[in-house]
Amino acid sequence: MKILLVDDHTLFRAGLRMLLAALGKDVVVIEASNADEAIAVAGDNVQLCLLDLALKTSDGIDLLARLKQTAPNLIVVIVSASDDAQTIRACIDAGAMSFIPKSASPEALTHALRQVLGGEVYLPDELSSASATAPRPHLTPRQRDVLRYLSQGLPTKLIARRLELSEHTVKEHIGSIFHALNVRNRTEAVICASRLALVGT
Amino acid sequence: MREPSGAGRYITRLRAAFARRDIEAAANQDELLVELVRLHARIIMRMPWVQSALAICVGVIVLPYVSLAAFLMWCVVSVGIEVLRANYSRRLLARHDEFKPYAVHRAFVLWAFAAGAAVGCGAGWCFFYLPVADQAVLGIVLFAMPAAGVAVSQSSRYIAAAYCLAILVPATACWMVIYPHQAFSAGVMTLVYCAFIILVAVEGEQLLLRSVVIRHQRDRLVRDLEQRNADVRIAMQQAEQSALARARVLATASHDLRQPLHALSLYSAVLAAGPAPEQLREVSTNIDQIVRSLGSLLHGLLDLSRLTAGHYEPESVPIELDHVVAAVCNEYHRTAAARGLSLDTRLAPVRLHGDAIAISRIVRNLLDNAIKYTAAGSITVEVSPLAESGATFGRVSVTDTGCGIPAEEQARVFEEFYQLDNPSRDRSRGVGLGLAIVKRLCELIGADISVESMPQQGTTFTLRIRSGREGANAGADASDIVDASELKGRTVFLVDDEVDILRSTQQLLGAWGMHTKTADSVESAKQLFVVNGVPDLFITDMRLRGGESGARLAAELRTIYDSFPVLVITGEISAAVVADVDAIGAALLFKPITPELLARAITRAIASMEIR
Repeated sequence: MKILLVDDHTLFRAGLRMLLAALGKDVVVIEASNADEAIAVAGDNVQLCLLDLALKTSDGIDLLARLKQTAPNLIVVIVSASDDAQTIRACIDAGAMSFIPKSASPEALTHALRQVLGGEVYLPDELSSASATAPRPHLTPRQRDVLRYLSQGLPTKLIARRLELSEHTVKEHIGSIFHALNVRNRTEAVICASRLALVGT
Repeated sequence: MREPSGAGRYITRLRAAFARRDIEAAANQDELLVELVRLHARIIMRMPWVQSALAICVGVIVLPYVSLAAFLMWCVVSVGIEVLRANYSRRLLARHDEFKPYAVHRAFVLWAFAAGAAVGCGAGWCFFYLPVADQAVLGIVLFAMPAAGVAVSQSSRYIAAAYCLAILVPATACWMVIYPHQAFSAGVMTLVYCAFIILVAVEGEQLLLRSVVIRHQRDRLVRDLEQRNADVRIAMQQAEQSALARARVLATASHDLRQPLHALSLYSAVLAAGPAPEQLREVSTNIDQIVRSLGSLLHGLLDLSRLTAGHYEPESVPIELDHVVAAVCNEYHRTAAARGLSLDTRLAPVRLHGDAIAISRIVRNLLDNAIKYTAAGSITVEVSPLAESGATFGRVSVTDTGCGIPAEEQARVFEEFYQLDNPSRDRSRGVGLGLAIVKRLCELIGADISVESMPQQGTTFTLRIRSGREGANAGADASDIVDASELKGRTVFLVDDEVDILRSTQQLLGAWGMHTKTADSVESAKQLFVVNGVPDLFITDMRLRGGESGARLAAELRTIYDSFPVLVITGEISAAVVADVDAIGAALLFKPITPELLARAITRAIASMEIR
């Protein structure tokens, strides 16, 4: 698995690289310390990108959008010193799949990276555990597929291509997912899906 | 001298006001005259019309009795003078303020005299030809004119007097010739009338002067108010800026403190995940680096806060500046050599009164900085004496051949957390507090620091230290220079809950020949007193295990045993700590502590107790 680390704090990047190497098998880590380096290598068959939101020289959300543009299939996970709900929502809105706060405890960090390496969504507790006991809504297998791609931040067009459906059908699926989860937009759907553990394994 | 009465009193007072030596009185007087002549000139401009009307009316009365030619000649003379006077006034007003008020006033007095004389002489001549009834009417008109003249003269008693006397004296003289039996009463009445007219003019003059003074005071008040407002605005701006600067420092500090903490947490996760053995070395190097930068950041922040909180009182003792600087340079020869830099010193002997610790710290930070930003070449430290305007100065400069500071950045290098060319805030290059501390220290010891730099050529920081005055305690301070021999053989009880600190401090005190007993808790400290009795000095950390306070412990022990000197060491900078320590009359020492600081504090604490 090819992973891109984008962080301007050298020592933090080194630590993250070592932790990823310890947690995952066959992990290849590429490091970038700024936006240009990141964009230059993002298209190069990278599957996962751990992105620091607070790069000194550029806005993280901007870079997130540019990364998604360069490599639409890239799964972007935000690793950030800030952990307020607004920032997290903005990141998910911009197409990030997970959000790992730097202030997390060592165990939480390990757990979060394990989930992310396993292709699952990780969001901080305050967002994801709010109603973990809520009843699981019923979703059809097709809707689950759509929801999984939504969680990866894919646009409607790509989801349609992956599932070999028309865009119109995908939109209809998304509409019924919103209805089933009682949410109003993609961001809320992704957060809700993560909270209820509806996607992934 | 008799007290003058009535008109005399007013004139005296006015003269006193004019004679006052201060500038404001002079200004008022000048302004009074300017005001007066301008008002006068404005009214004078209408006088030709008034005089023409008067001439026509007088003509109706006198023409049946005097020759037309003589009357017309009088008309031409009197109206002509008024026309010329009005013309003079118009030109004067057109010149705005650019005239000499005294000269103009004199001119107006002469003009008034001429105008009055034309009327007075003409009327006096007419008296010889007129019947009694018409003489009376003309007399009434003549006596009415000076009354109007007071208003026209705009309260200048000189103008009023000239006009009044010029009309009435010739006219009355003629009357007295025609009616010699009335001469006395006519003369007296005319004089009384003239005096009254002049008195009214003086009153008016006073009024005008008062209004000018009031206007001056108002202008000054407005100016003062504006100045005060400007001062307040500047003070507010400064307060806002310093609040902004504090907020910026706080924000940067919290970011810079959190970043290494996050990294540490990450490395803890790495260690828990069981990294490959070959990675362990890298992990430990990185953790070491993080802890070091965290430590120096904390030290820097504490120093800065200590300097800001005003707990550092610079001293003024005789020092040899070149020796102080040489000692600091000696610490850096090895570091400089390791980076391939040569450290050259040119130290001329300079003796002055100052604070050796603060100066050492300043030079140390400047050298740190020079070494950090110089890739190749040399660093030169110079000390030279300066004598300016009678005072002694010491000049210390640190010059490097490093990357230099662009002109627009030079003012900012003394800001907290400002680092040249380090946008990613790579903490291995230091925390960016060194020069902020230098600046704060310079402010405290009253030294100037300046920077000169050429990008790519190097930078020179120059310190100008003014010799402090030899204070009343200079003698005591001189004997105060650290001398370990005074400490030799003394017994010290040392209380701290951290065993490492106990051990290292004990070693240091032992090196100075002191006998040290240590305790790591309140109970064991009390035990020391029971077993060994009262020490020569009791040193305790402020914060002890179990939430106990060192100051409280010392206070409690003092109630049981004889008085003994106490030195409290603290890492906290709060008013509460200072108050606690002051309450028991103990000395206070802030962390971080250097051996010199400790030795000095111990010497003082012991000395203060022996004096008592």
